[in-house]
Amino acid sequence: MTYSRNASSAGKTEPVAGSALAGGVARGPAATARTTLLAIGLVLALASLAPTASAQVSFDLGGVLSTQLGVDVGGEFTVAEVCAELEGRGEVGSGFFPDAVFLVEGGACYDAAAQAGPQGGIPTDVLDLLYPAPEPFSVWLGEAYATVYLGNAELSVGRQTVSWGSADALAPLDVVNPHDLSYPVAQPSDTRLATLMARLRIDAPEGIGLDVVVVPVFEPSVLPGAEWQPDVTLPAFPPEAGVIGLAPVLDDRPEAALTNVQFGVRATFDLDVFDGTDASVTYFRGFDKLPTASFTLVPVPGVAGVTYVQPVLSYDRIQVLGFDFSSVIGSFVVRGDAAYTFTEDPGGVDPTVGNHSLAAVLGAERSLPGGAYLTGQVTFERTAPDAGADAVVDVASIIALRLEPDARLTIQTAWLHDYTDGSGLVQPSLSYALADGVTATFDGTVFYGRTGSRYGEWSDNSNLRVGVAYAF
Amino acid sequence: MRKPVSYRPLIVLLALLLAALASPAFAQRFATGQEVMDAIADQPAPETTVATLTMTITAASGHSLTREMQIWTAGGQGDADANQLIKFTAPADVRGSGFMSVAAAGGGTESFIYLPALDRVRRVAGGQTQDAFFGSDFSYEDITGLTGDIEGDFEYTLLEVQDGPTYVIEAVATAGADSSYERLVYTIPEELLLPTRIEFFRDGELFKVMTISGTVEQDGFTLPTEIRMETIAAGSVTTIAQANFELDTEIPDDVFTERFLRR
Repeated sequence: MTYSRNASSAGKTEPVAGSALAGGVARGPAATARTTLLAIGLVLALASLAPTASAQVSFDLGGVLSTQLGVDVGGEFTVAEVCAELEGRGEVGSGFFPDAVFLVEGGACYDAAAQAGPQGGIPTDVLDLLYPAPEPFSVWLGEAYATVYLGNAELSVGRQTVSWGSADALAPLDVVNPHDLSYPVAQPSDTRLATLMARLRIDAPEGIGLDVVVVPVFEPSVLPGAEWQPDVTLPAFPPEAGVIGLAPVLDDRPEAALTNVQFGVRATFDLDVFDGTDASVTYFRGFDKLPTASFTLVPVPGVAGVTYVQPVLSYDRIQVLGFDFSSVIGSFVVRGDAAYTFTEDPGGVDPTVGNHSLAAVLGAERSLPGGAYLTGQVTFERTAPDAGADAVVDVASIIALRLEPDARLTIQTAWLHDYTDGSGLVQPSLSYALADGVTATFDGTVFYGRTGSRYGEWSDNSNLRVGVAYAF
Repeated sequence: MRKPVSYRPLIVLLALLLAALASPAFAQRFATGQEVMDAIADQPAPETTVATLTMTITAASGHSLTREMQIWTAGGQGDADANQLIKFTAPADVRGSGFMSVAAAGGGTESFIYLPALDRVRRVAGGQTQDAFFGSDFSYEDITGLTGDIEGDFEYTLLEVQDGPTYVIEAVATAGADSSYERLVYTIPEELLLPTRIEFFRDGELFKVMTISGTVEQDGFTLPTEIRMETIAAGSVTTIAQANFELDTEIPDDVFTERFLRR
């Protein structure tokens, strides 16, 4: 599960910044879909031709067909989608570590719930403007990369996902990839979006591993919809500003330039401590994948004394320094992550830039008699204050219980409680293997807490989801 | 002159016949349970094994699921340095999942699982070793026990010698043993020197029964081809069929690494 604070804080109201920022606006969905389809088609076509070119090449094609239906406590369908995903993977050469492997995956979804309700018109609500509803039809390109094996090193180039960190509930070191947070309480591993990068992994002697990633082009996370965002109120503008309305959102993404290349390195050590320990240190330099929203006043060209409000989504330049570990101690596995994020506003004086923050998680897990598996984790987050304000501190706990009575059935329940405001959520789920490769899932999320609390604000989003997937 | 008749050979033959009638119809080579287990451990075993496994998990209701795997092992039965790696190849929803058990630098073993959905290699704690191996009737402990080192964990007593001869041996866990089972009962034909049936007892109850119903001779080794594990209380059964053995082929050390596990 992920319980992203940034996701919801992306909608926070910020005071008016000085001037309008230059920045690119995302291409239309139709153009993106065409490009993605072309890319998928090209890679799959090349991959399918590859076996005929050389006997040393093998190739497998698989995929997943899935459907999902979700309804919230108000009786509205939150999702009603059918998806098709294709995955091709192959390798060049033979042996335990062939010369190279390649993988490409992509798919398409149609969500009927996304087009329900009144359509058309210009959004007048700030939330709808900042967080527009998704298109019913979407096409996506997932991981698509090639890996070459060079002795103890492997170099992967293409769209990839990187999973850094040891803990689950809070993943402060999961900073390389953007996430699809349209359902912000989904499993983090389900929300991670592939992004273009070069990745070098080296297995050094003495149990030391080195992992280096270079991400040339920034891609942001997909934000939760308006129903997950706190109310946004525009700043009070003086009458003489002559505000006549809202302009479309300016998505001020970092440009594709050498100065904006993101970089990360992680060193992992296999230690003979307790009954086995892995420990890692991580450094990342790049951008926060979640934006900070701000509003600027922009003069209307050629009309004196008249302005419009320009919402701006900007992405903070960050550096992250972190540590994580997992240890086996008797019948327990103990995990912990800690990360300190440095922004470019150490004094908290620029409201359009986020502040330094510390996030840490520590937990333990073990098997229980009867085949149950219990996990408990405690999280701590502290965000440095803006000048003259108090720091934001949050403490929460997560308890998860998984039970697998047989090969077909898996029952899980997770309970998150935020001690800062007394809110939280309970998330039961059940999956059942109907046949080889066919799985039905039932899951729900119940939010609780007072109005205005972190999770209590989402009580109207309590929901139940049912799905079936066929993997082939 | 007429040569005197010698009755000595006839007496010897008669004595042998009487002796044969007086003793059981077989001759056992081993007098104690420990001798049998030592003989099993002393049998030549391939240094490395690569094989494909088909695991069929059948619930008490009769419905079944099938998993296909590839297994790599280095180090023979009873070898303290035995390494083992298993990767799932089918069906698609579990493809890429894997399990690895390797000898730890400080002694003992370290176990890891890899789930593609999480994209992380995770350590398996000692308490987890009795959990079901990917939903089957085998536990992680059972799987590693097929190749791992259990010497010193049990004391063996010969309970019975059946026709064949076939030895029935009781193994009782020693204090501090790295096993979740308190008692095992082996059935071991002397001809095979391979357990064809193992009863697992936990909390005084018969918990599971494993039977080996098929073997194959390859390169001078006797290898099990069909292993069946039944969980008594649940009524479920898991069958592992082994095939496509490659014995004593060179397996590089870096196969038994997290890197290969997640590949």
